[in-house]
Amino acid sequence: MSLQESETTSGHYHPISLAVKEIQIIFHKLGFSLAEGPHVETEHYNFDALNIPADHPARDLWDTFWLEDNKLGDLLRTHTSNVQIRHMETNEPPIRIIAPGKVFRYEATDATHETQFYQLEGLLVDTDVTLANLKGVLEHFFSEFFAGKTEVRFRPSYFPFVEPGVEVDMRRKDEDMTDEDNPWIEVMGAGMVHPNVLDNVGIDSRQHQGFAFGVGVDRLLMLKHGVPDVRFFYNGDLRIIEQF
Amino acid sequence: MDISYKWLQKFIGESLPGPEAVADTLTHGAYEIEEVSEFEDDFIFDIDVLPNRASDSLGHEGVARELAALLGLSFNPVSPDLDTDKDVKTDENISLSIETDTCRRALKRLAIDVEVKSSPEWLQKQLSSLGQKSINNVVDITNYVMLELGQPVHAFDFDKLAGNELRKVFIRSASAGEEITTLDGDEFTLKVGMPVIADTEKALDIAGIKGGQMSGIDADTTRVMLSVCSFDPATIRKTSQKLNLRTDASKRFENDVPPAGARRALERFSELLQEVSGARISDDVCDVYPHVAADYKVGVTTDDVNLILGTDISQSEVLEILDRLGCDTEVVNPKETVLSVSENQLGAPYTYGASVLRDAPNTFDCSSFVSWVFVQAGIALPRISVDQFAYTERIQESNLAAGDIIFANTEKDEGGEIYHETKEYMTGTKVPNGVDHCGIYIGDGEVIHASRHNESGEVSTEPLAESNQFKNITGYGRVSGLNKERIVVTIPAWRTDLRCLQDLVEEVGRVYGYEKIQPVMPTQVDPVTEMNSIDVLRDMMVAAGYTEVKTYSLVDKGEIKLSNPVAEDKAYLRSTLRNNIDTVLDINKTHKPVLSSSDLKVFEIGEIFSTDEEMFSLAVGGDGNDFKDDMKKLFEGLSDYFDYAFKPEITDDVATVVLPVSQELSFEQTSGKLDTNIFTPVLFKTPSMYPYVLRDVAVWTPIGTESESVAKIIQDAAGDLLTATKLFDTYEKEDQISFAFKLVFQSDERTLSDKEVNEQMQAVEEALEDNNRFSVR
Repeated sequence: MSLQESETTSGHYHPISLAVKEIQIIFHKLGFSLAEGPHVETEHYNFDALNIPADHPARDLWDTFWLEDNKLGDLLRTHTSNVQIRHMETNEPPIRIIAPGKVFRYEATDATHETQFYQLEGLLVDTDVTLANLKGVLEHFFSEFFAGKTEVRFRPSYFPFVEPGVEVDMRRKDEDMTDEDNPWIEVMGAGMVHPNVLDNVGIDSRQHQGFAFGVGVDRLLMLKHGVPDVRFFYNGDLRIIEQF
Repeated sequence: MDISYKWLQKFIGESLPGPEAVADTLTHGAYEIEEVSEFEDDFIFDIDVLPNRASDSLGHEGVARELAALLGLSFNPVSPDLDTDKDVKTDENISLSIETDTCRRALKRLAIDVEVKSSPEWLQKQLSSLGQKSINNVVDITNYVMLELGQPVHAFDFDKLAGNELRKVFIRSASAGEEITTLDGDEFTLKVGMPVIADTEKALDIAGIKGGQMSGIDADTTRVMLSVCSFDPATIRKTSQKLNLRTDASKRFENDVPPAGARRALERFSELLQEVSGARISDDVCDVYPHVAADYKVGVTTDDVNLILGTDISQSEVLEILDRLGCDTEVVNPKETVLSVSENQLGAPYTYGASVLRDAPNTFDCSSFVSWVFVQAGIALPRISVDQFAYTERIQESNLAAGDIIFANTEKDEGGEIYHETKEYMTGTKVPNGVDHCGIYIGDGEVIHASRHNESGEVSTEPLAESNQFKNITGYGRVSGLNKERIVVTIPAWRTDLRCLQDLVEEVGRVYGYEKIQPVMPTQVDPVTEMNSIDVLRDMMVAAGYTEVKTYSLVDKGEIKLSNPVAEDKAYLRSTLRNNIDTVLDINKTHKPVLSSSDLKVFEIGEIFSTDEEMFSLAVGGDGNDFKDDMKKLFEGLSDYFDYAFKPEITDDVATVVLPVSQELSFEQTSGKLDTNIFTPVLFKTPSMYPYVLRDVAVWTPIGTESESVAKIIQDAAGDLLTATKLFDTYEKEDQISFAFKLVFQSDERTLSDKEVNEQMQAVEEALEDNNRFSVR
């Protein structure tokens, strides 16, 4: 089937696919390859291996859909960090991956919350990776994705699988604009991979360190294109999708 | 957590900057501030305290301590100063026994001549500014102390406890089915393992969670038992979850309220109770603290800090920041510390399984001795000998130097198990010759170790060659960095989150300022060029004219059920994409006139779940007459391209197929040919929620006229309400050509009336007729 030569008019990519594709291209150029994993996951891969033990208040940070007894797993993954763990178990550093995919949260839906959305996580593990590298990679990523020089800032935060852990804000880099006209926008969580996470997957945390980040693809799309409601992405309405 | 600006000021020696500047400092240095609001002459910060800081920051003193550290201001902690009464005796009136490990420490104290009344104005106002209701002076003070120190405290009416002279109080596990009515009248049936504070007859309180009605303070209370405890966080969390009872107290206890601060909290509680109720407070205190927590020590080097942050922070700056955060620091040569500290422990008794945190340096076993000695040098080793073996670098006997660790297999002579693989560090790493004993080489052929077989069962030194315990040496281990200067940091008791060097690096980083970290790209490596088979499939589907949808994974029927669905029609994981695609076709039928293509052609690639596996499926849907034929051709084309036989299930309007794993699909890697125009940013427009109105117009034009120019005239004349102009027919006759357009009128703000659309159509027709050579049919 030769598509180029046919006279068919192209259809449209779903905006999420388009964004993932664009992000993938940006990171492929930096040597990050694609990694994938299951949506139904065990408690071990979604929580325990990520330094989020049972009966720890940190569990409250992820509202989780649990499954009735079945052969596949305990829950619907709440992030694609399960992919990071599975990848690190079977690969030696240096590791550069991105893990895009659908994730699930047990919560009431509104214009900015959905029970399902797409997350994209990145992981770089090597001997000499720093928080400064994380800043460098994220500034590069946002500048490419939003097609214009972008700056990022870190604020202290907490995710059990990273230490230090930061909240990442971004904005256009524009010396002429005031803070009021060009506000910082909170976009993702990130940090340096916690040594317990590395040790859990058999990577010696004294020899290796790395950064990890996770971003909501839906949120990036909403910011980039001014989409007001996250539910537009999943209602199947072609009037939405044809705009992309 | 609501925090009062004015209350924070009470802990700070200098004048605080304004509330906005304080919020800004906290945001960039410590916590997320959700909101700053005004309350009378005060400002209230709504702080999102995350679990790592919930141990020290769920009280005003903790937040003020943090703020002082970030701003470099002086911090004045609460230091209670009360007049006690030697005639009031706690020990003659209260006995306390802790019968569950869940309780780490408990303190009780008697207060008499308590006058229960309404709270003074300052107290009522402070509580009300933080959204707390005033009850009476005694109860209010318990809340005040919790909001100040983050330590929940409780007041029992002493005269309601069972007993005459001496009231016996127990902290124990509930018995099965034990019942209790809480202060607000709710009844709970408890399970074994849930901790309670009890007298000889009944449970008085769901420990760490909620007080009981039977022993509550009322207007007639004159004698109060003050109570301050520290509990195991996980037990409190499990109990409050099982009872579905989350309280201000349980929230704090589940986040680890450290036992070390309980005594000061009791003093503060006593002082304030005296102030607001005129109580006489016993001089003595009942304080049961079975295992006193030792100081936690963590080592870090300035290199560690800079190699993780990517900065160039000086050692003096690192030390200064740690000092501001309340950490004691000592710069040591680890090897010298190991040698001197270990020698200082000579004679310490041996106990198998001794804890590094609770028992050292009073008593040791072999590996707790090694572990504890290295902790003093700022080096965290695993706790047990086999893990220490795996953690250290193997060296030859001939290279043995002071400070190295020697491992042996005593063939169970030490009484413990011989380990052949690691337990907690890199779990499962094989150690073929086995390890059950270890000691530290101190030079000159001598080893220091804790062994039950040493002369008097204690820490001692002996020549390695003569030691019975080291007859069968299975390895020599070296700890890296032993000669490199380290900062040994004694963690303040309230910072239960600082447990490894990365935790300290974060502390230094956030106080130093993340904004000072300059972005640096990592080493450039080869770009990735391989494509994923699903991405290739998606590209092909789009190129073949299909539009991609993504639908919900949670549906009303399937093979795997959620145990906590948000709604009954979202209680299952989808086992097929077919129903979702059917729905997509249905809802888009009504949108067809405003869509770009005339026939619906959609697809989804998504995960589906059967009882046995999770799979990816491709579903294709359409509504044209030729759909079935199109599908056949599409799948033939795909089968051909991927060299794999797709066998779709095709109905009238939907075809679905389970996709094989990617290894079964072969395809040509064609990177770099992607049309990047697809990424051009578009400004999204929300589709109108009002109905559209359709009208047709056809016009004769001279041959050679472009349809676009006709469409332009129509669009200019019709104005903004015209949202789509579709050419649906052209017809040539002699020297004329007719164009027929379908016009879609729609407003974003209202339902259009016929009259309105008729007016627009009239304008369109008039505009077309303005051209003498056009005629509207």
